[in-house]
Amino acid sequence: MKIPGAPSETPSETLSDERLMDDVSAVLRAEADVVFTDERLARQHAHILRRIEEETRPGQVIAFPNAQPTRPALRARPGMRWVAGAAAAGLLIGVAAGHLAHDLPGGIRAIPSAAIASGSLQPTLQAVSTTMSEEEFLGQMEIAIETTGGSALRPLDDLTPLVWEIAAQ
Amino acid sequence: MPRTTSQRSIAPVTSAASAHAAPQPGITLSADSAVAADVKALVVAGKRDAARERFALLVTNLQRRAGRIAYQYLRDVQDADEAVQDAFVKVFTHITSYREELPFEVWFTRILVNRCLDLQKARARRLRWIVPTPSGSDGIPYEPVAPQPTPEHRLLASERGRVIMAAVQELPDRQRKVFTLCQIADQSTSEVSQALGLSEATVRVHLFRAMRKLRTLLVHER
Repeated sequence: MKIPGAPSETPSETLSDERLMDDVSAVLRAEADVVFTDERLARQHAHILRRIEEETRPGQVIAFPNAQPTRPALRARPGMRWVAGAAAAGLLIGVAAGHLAHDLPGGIRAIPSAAIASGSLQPTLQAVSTTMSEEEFLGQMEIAIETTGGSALRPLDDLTPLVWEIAAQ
Repeated sequence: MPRTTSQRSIAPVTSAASAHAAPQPGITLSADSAVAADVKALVVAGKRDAARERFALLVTNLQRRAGRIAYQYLRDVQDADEAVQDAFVKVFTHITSYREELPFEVWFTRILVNRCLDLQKARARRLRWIVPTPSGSDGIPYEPVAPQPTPEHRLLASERGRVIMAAVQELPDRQRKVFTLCQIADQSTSEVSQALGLSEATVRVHLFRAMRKLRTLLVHER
């Protein structure tokens, strides 16, 4: 093979190169032809044409649903309409009655069942005074500890070092 | 033997629609280019069934050569088969963008080579994450073995054939691709440069180096 622009060669070299390249060409072609048999080429041909047909087939137009669909149930069964109407009327009456009972002066108020059971509507908890001094608060704490459960906390109190003891050391 | 200029003559144009596409000066179009122009004209006219029938002829004419090119790129018959199919389908679906004044083979080869490169990349990604299974274990049946060895089998089985195949595989990637297109696809350096998107001078350099290396590797085997 003579490549344009390639360095010049002697005629014998050119001839042997041509033979060499012919050999290489033959081997390369044979290499591919062994795997691409006639059967494979026929299958390939069929696949290509089928794929082309699939790709170029115009898309199917899917019809939209009927513009006036059939109405089920209620139209066919008149009795159901009466039931639905009665339910709606009951709901409206209930809502209106609730509003009236709430807005009228001296109307019914919801009373907690616990208050009714205790017989008193007054709250049982007393408000905590926010004006209590620190000394009063600590005093009340000591009283509470000594009166309820103080004995249970006594071992823990014994283990805890006191401030004045540390200061003395 | 690769050609350095386009030598094939144009076949009689069979449809009036393709007659208005004049080839570029200095380029002689092939019979396949004329068929491709016919297919384009039929598609443009909305005659898709007739276009498919005409395109079938083009597939018949080119598929063996396409298989050789794809196999040299991919070295796997399944991948090469896929690349050839994809290339033909793409050509048909984009036939309206084919320029009739240019050789159809160059356009087709470029599409085929690009598809081969895409498949090479996809295969590299696949192999990075998946351990390849031995051939035949993935449900793909083995190709039936011909009972009698064909001339191609005998050539490849010969000592000379094995040496040549080994020598070609030793070529650097770019040189091997250029050499393969020139030798197998029977394309000129100009056509190969268009198909690969390289300058013609680069193609000549690669081709020259490939031949020099092959000569060095094979000269002692003569």
